[in-house]
Amino acid sequence: MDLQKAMMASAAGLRAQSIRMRVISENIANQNSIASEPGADPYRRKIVTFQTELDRATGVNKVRAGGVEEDQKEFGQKYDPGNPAADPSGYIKTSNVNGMIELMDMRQAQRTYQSNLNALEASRRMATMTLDLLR
Amino acid sequence: MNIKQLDALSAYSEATKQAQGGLESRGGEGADKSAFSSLVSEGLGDVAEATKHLEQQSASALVGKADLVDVATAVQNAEMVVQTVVTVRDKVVAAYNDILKMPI
Repeated sequence: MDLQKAMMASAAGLRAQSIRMRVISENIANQNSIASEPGADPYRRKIVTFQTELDRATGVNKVRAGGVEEDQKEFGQKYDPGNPAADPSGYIKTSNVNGMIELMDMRQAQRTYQSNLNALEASRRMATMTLDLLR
Repeated sequence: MNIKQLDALSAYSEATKQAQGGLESRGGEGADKSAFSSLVSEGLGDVAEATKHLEQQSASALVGKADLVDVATAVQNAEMVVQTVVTVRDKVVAAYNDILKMPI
């Protein structure tokens, strides 16, 4: 049944977006995480990649959250000589998470999740309406 | 409320299993299984399968092992299957009643 397949695709979208949301939350939570010793790297921002996956049993092109990659952008620097992780000149490396970007990413994840939910709801309503023909 | 739902569902799946068993044993006695009984038992098999899956998902969600999305899709799937079977059954029973009431 195609409507059921549509619902499966929407559910895969929901799952993928929730993984994305998890990674965004990790980024936001670790925004201020720094290294514990001089020379070590602070928290590196993570990015989720999405891939199309063909479900061979049903022939549905589902979305799948692929690997979680690391953002290769440069770390920031902050002058904080009292910090135990500071290098000889008094600078510490800060994480390369940008709050604004995370916020926008989160908004997009939210909207995509909502669209998937709406699609799911629409498919369900169509199936119920078809069933109502029999009544 | 969740637990009550689960109870009702398990009772329902028990009932469907029993009904299925009864239908099958009756079908085995007769030489030819009637089309209606096979239709009903097939439908009930679907329902039993869907509700079983739903039960597993909700149980693992209760202990924090399943994703909310999986539970929601399982509930929705079970709902659809049950609705379909119930509607078809109602339709068939209505047709049967019509035949019974036919003036001879």
